[in-house]
Amino acid sequence: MQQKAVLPTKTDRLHTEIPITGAEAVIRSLLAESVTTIFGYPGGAIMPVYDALYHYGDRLNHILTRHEQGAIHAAQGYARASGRVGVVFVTSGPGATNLVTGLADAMIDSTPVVCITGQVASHLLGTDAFQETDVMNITIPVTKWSVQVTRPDDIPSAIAKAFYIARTGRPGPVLIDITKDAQLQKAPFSYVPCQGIKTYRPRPVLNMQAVQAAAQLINSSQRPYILAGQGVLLSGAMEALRRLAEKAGIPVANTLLGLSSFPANHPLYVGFLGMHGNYSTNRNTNECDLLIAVGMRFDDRVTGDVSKYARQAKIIHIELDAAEINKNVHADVAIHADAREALEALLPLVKPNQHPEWLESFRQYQQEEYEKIMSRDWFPASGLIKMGEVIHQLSERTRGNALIVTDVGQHQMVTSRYYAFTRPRTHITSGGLGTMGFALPAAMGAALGAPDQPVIAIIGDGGFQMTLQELGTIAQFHIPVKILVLNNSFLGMVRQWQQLFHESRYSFTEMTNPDFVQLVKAYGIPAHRVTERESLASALDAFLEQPGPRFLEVKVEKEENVFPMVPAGASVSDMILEVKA
Amino acid sequence: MKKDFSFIVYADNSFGILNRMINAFNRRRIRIRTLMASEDEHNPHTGSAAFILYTTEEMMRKVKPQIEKFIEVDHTQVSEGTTAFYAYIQQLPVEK
Repeated sequence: MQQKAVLPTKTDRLHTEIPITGAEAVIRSLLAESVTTIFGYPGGAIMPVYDALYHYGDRLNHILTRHEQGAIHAAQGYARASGRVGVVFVTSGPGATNLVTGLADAMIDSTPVVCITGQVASHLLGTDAFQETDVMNITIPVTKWSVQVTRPDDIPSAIAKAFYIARTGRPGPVLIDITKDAQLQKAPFSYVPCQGIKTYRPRPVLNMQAVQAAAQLINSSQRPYILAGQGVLLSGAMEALRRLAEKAGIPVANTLLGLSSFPANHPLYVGFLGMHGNYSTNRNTNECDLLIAVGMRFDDRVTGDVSKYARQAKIIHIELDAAEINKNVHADVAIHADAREALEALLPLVKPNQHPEWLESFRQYQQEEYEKIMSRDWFPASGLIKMGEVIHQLSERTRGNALIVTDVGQHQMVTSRYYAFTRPRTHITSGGLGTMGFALPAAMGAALGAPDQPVIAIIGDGGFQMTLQELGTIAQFHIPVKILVLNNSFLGMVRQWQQLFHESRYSFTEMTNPDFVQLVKAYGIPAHRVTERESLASALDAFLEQPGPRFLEVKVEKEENVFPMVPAGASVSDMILEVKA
Repeated sequence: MKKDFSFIVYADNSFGILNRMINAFNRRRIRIRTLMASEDEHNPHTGSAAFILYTTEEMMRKVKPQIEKFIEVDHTQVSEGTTAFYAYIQQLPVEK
């Protein structure tokens, strides 16, 4: 039976006399931060917080996931779709350790989440008590900040600091570990939002000399090229980016996480970068005379062999995180700044310009890619359904307007290549960590964070089975997620590499799958399967038109490869369009 | 070429910050030859940690901002050789 995410209780305790318990301080602090949605899973060491939550049923939605990993991925999806901080409650021990993958994912992909973990009572710390684990030390490498609280008095300030840290600067995950005695004991409560931290300077002062130097490079460039990353979305620099590109006539490509920061239907948009990105975007990286990298970190999947990356070009790097500047690629001009602030400062200094020949060189590569790859992917004459035609049709049917959440693997790359994103913040994926199992729970969170948008989770059969228990959450709370599983009965990307680089030795990549349709129906979610090309269009229409959660499995070609491809360790210039038999 | 560097970090004295620093060095396989950490004698809420690190100049250049971006870290000092490390040690209060 469908259940709401709220309990039938009314908040009648906000004005009760202080002192209050630490558990109640947690709830009131979250309300002070305007939190409305929490993803979590209760257990022994977090029970006082859940008991306090019970009394705030009309103020806070709690989504009971089926696994703590599901809770944090849902919080990530919520944060990325809404621009707000995602919040997670879990218990100590295994509850806390089950967060680790999500924390690492949020850390590398700059996603603001605050995780509150219960902990054993403070006198039991370090004693190997039941469900005690050293979550602080386990999570230090995968959190932007973490704190253990052992006194109820410290809870409001810890939460205030956590929210401030999570959402400012380069966003990231924060963990607050609260001992059970701190949850149960009482203390006076007052909440003061954090306005700053002495040792933390999230917004650097813009260096106008660097901006002027960048403008000079842009004004004298014949073949300038903008690479736009997630920093554009995080700083809200989409409009400034578009204006800069249009004023100076500069082609724009997106990194994986930067997708949707520049409309795919814009004449200056040239495509997606990286190992399985577009041909033109990668090839022209080594043809341009100026690279303007905005809010991106020159990930190895973007650069290929970094020693052969854009050696001919001057590089301007606009980046908020100082540790990313000159880390992988040397910048001729580094602008350590918020992307929006930097682009807006740059805009009046840049002269109007056009680069038609340079833009034409992208079009030539695009034509070659279309003839050799896209046309065959989108309009295959025979054989089983191909991933490319599914995503192309989905993009056409939704006009690039849906909020797309992908998992990791071939379907992720195909979606990044063929879904034409037209609105900002409509692409959510696990980029840096490459976490299979991310999409289903993240899509739940995205649907709750952006309730007015259609949310489609696109997943492979391998990743789907990593977190499919969250179908229970989707069914219970009737979360309107459309789940599209592209089933090739393989771990497709690994199989592709085995074929190309390990002489087709398919070592443990073939999967014997259950009947997904029956499985999903068992959760009470309407489910259908498509195996024939003739039925694909109507199945997609029905899938998209019906309200509420829906599942569609598309049986796709088993041994399809995603091209073009920059082979591991090769230069972006060595991108291959196909492998000759 | 690898060589010795003195690396001194001034930070809030909170649980876990030393672990964060050590993790950053371990992750990049930077050898810690000597480590001295100390609470500020006038303000126990702040402190400092000094390291002699054996690594390359490029690695030092890359790891420094990674340490500086930790929330509790106020600033760092890096210099070639061990002189700065031993000068730091000499400034520490000696318990009588």
